[in-house]
Amino acid sequence: MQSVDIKKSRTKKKFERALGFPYYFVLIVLVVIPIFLMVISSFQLDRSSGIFPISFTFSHYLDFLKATSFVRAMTSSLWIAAATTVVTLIIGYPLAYILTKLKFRLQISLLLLINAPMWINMLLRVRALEQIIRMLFPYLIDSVPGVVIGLVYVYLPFMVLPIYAVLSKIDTNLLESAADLGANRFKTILKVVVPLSLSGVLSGILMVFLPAATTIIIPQYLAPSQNIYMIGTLIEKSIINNGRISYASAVAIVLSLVILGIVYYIKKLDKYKGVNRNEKEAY
Amino acid sequence: MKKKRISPTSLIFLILVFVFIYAPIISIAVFSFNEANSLVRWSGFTFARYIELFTDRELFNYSNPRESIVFMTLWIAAISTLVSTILGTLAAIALTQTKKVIRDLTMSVNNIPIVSPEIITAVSLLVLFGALQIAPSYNTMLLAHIAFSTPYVLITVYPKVKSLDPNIADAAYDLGASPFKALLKVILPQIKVAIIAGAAIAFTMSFDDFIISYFVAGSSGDKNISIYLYTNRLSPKPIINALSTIILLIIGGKITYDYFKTGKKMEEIE
Repeated sequence: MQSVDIKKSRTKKKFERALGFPYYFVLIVLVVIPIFLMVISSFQLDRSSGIFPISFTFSHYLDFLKATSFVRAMTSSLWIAAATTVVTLIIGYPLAYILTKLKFRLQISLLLLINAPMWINMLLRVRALEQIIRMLFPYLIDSVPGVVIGLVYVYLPFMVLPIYAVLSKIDTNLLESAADLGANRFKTILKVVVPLSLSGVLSGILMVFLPAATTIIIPQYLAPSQNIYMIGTLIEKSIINNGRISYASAVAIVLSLVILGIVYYIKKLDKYKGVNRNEKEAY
Repeated sequence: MKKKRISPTSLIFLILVFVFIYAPIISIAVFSFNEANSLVRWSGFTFARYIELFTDRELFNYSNPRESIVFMTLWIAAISTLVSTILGTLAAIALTQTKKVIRDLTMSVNNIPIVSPEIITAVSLLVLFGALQIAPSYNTMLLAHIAFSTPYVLITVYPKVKSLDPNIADAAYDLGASPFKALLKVILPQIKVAIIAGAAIAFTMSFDDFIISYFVAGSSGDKNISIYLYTNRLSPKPIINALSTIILLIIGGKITYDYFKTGKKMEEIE
């Protein structure tokens, strides 16, 4: 009887383990191999089609040092993304904070309203915003502030949600004890609330900064004369207009390395991780 | 419990933020009924844009759906949702049973498409299809959509599978169910809600995708709605406002429905 049971649970386990094989295959073919191919491709000359015959060249990477377009696109992307992150933080943090002070039912409704646009096609939203800006503030078209407004419009929810998730988990006893110990409201926020919400702020920063730095859509709609040249536009141009796939691969790889560096640095800042109750559930 | 009251400054701030979020969306909907082509001057109410929209040969080609952008967008979203939901759900079940090494490795690889910027995923898939000499078309678009949707299904379904009581499935086996039957009749019904949530994410991701679709299929002339919107951005046709409004209404309806459903659930808990 015992051995039959063991055998049964073994076939069950085998069966359930086998269910993962199709997806492992998909992951290898459509995620892992493409990354390797992109790395290989970045060392190829652009004239060869396919991966064979294999050539080897550093020319694309060397181009970055010579060509001003790459450096210009990279710096303006990082700069615009940083500005966007700061603005979303300035709007998003108070917004999340005010939400936590409302009645629970109202909190949920307003959160839903903040979230709802994320389900709508981004191109439709950016076009809608472009129309409003053209109508009310035409001087913002083709300007850096205009592009930043567009990015804030699209990525604000990404900042509000993680901050709200952390703020709503802060133990209110901590705030009361701060008050009991003589801290005023401002000091309580500065010394208790802000440090405790740091992990939410940092994940918000990552979730806004990365897509903002790599956007294609927003500068194309809000700066149509292309005076603001971001890294996404550079990759799009080299692939769609010039067919320089290997060059674009090299750009994408340098971009990934820059992003990995930023992510690593921001994750390291998170020194208060796990201090709030149920923090794990928030994610 | 202290009484929760909102200060006037906070209230003004909230109103400003919501105006910023919703004014553009609402204006699009309003001007889709405008008689003139203008998006600035209102000259009278009309349904003309909607009639033009549904008779547009590029968006709705009733005699040849393969040439219809709206139909193909929905079709690709449906197929990629079906495939990625099945793949992701099965993988989620498998991962709770496999060795830790495989689980951790799968989860890290699964996270790559989620955390890396879309444009990088797009370039890598473009290189893959180029290397395999697969010509850009709706087929490459479909494969790409499966690649970026399945990870979201997996991370949505996996926590639910992990929280299941293993005794229930074991009881099914003890009562003589085959592994397949136990999967179908015991495990899947318990994780139904998570599967539907995962499928909803997969569908919207596919339906709304622009960057990846544009890179892997854009050069072929096969367009989804996003590519259509983007390539017409410099001379936007007025029917786009009508199309936007319809999409807004459908999504608005879905969100309101969800809201009232969760509202009911919360009342039950209270």
